[in-house]
Amino acid sequence: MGYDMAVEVSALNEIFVEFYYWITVPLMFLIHIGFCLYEVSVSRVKNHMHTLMKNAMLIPVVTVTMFLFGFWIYFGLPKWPFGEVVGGTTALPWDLTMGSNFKDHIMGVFWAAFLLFSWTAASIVSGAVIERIRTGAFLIFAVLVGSITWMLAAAWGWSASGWMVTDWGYHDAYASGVIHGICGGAALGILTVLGPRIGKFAPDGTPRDIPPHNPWFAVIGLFIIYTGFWGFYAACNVPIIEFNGLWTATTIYGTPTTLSTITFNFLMSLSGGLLAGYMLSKGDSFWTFSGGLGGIIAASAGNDLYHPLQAFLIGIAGVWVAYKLHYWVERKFKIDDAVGAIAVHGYAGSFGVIIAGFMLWGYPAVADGSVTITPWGQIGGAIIMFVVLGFIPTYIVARILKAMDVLRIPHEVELAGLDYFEEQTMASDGQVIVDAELAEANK
Amino acid sequence: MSTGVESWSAESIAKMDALYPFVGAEVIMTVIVVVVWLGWHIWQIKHENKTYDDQVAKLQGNLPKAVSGD
Repeated sequence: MGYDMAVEVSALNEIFVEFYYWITVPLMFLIHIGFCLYEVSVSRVKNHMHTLMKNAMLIPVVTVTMFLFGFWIYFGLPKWPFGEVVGGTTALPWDLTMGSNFKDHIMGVFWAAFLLFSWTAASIVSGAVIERIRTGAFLIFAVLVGSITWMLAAAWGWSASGWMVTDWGYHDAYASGVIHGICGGAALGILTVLGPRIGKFAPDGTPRDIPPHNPWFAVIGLFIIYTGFWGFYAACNVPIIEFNGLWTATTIYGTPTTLSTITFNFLMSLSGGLLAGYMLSKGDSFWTFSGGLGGIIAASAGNDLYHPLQAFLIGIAGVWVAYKLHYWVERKFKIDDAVGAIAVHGYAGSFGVIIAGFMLWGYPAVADGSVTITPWGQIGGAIIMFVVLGFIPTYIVARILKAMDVLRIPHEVELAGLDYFEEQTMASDGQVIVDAELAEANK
Repeated sequence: MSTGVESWSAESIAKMDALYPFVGAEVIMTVIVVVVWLGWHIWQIKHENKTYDDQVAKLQGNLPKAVSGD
């Protein structure tokens, strides 16, 4: 048998790409662990197990719906509603590649990478609405955001063939708008209907601080999210591909970048965000660590191309915008965003999309250079993400669920705490065991 | 009787695509999973509604005690 070097290299490249994407999946799993830890720590003790279960159960419902229809949206609807549905049966549950298949080794890995983004999307919304939303209602929103609206956002604005990219030059390499903007808007849509937690606002409308029951664990949760974010960044790239005669990494749009670029910029935008969060909040741990996340999110749209110092400064500016807007919206509209998700994801993400339009003005948005990045394309994109795909769908569904009286937990249960009866049962069961042990000891 | 693959020979593998059993039943399996998924949501919402109804009934007259953590 002859040795064909081209075949060997091609096979090695294929194995490398498969493994590269596969390793991003367990890394991104850390994001969900971080979100659970963070969210539970921010909730009060009387609600923490319910908070954990609500977030954990988004995993199965988003996973099954991503298999049934979510992944198909990405392949089928990049031009819809202005163009045809495309892609044939690709990613439909009955397509032969959506299962164990000798002719295709990568589809399941791609599906999982998108799925982990979907969990993140639903989890961002989850934190904002804690301590008052019903689990059943939240899981409907999880499917809506995790398997429908974010996938539509990805099809339109996070694919080289998406209409926002080909028509507007929309550029969002690491999903400032496609994930974070849309999820911030979605959280705001729900909270507008759901209302604040009891006691959040004084009778005169002044907001009260409801402190996390475990601030230390909350920031550890954010640290774990940072760690998982590396997997997210890696998964957003095509690791190695021939581009006009040069072997390089590319973004999901097929435009060149390097692993070095995103490593520089990830760390510099994180650092800018941390400094800004610390300064704005006068050293508050919650806002400092959230600032780090917000810094990355603000720079993510253009972190494939920015200079590290630009990423650093954009991280600072994005967190400033997010922090100021958070408190202004809270005071003005009585929005009780328990974890600052709308600010860190929605405002910082939308800012990031818009600033990329100015910073990268005139850069080719796609590999063939047929369309360029512009401020108006990015501003339009930010509105599509935050308002059209973010706010409006969840606002409408929240109104429907409210009318059906299945949106918010009963007033009495909210006051007593969602875990009250569980804790009573545990205390009672515990006492039975103590009594049994005492009886045994007294024999 | 075979539900799918019958041989791992080089000749068979060269022609092989799907490895799972019951190839051809994908649409039926999809319908079953859609029913299970939607059925689970309906069950969960009904269960949650009943749980809260029971809890509200138990809290009548006991709310101050529950809120104070006793």
